[in-house]
Amino acid sequence: MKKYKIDPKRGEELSDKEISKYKDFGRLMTNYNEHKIKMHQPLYKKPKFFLALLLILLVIYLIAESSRKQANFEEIQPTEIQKP
Amino acid sequence: MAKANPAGFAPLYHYYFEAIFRFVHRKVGSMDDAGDITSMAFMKAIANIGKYEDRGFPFSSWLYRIASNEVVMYFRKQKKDQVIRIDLKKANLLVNEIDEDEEKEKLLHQLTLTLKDMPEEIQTLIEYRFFDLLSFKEIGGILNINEDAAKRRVYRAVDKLRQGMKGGQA
Repeated sequence: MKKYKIDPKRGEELSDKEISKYKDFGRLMTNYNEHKIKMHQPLYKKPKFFLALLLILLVIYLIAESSRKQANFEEIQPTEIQKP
Repeated sequence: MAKANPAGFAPLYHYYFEAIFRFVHRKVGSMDDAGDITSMAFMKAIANIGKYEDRGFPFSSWLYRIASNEVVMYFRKQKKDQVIRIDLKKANLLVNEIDEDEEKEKLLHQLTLTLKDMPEEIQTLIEYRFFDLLSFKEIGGILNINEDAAKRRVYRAVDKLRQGMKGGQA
C-alpha cells in the first residue's frame, strides 16, 4: 500500500554531487560480470541444486525400497494363512 | 555498440544515471537503497540491451520501466508500505490541475488522503506525470502505448482523482 505525504521542507532535488557518490561504472561492470557468471553456471555445479537433486534421489530410493518390502510382505502372507 | 559489448553501455550509463537515481530515490526515500536499486536496474538494462527495440520512444522510458519494476520488487521484498514524499511545488502543480478555485491548503490535505485510496494504475500515472515530471512520450514508452494514449490516460486519472476528492469533501 502506498502513502503520500506532502513535505513542505523538501526543497530542491538531490544535487549531482550527492548522486555521483553512487555512480561507478567500473563497479557496475564488475558486479554485472559476476552476476553473469553465476547466471551461466550449469545447474549441476550449483550446490543448492546438487543438494536438492540428492534429496530427491534419496526420497525416490526410500519409496522404492518401502514398496519393494511391502510387495514381499504381501507375497509371504497367504502361505501363513494356509492350514496345515 | 552497447548491444555488441556491455562496456559500450558506459556513455548511456553516464547520461541517464542521475535521472534514474532521482526517479528511484523519490520512490524509496533512502540514498543507499536508491543506489542499490539503480545499479540493479542498469545491470538488467545491460543484460537485456540486445532485446531493446527502438519504437520511437525515448531510451529513458525503457530505463524508467526497468527501474520501476525494481522498485516494485524492492517493496515486495521489504513487505512495507511505500511512503511517497511530495514536495510542495509538485503538489501545487497537481492541485492547480484539479481545481484552481478551491482553497489550496484544503485541497493539499484532501489530495494525500484521496490518492492513497486510488487504484494503483491511477497512482502510477499521477506520479509519473506530476511527481516525476515525465513527458507524455516517456510515459507512453513505459506503458508501451503511444503519446496521445498516454496523455488521455493521465487526464482520465486526473479526472478520477478530482471526482474522488470532490466525493471526499462532500
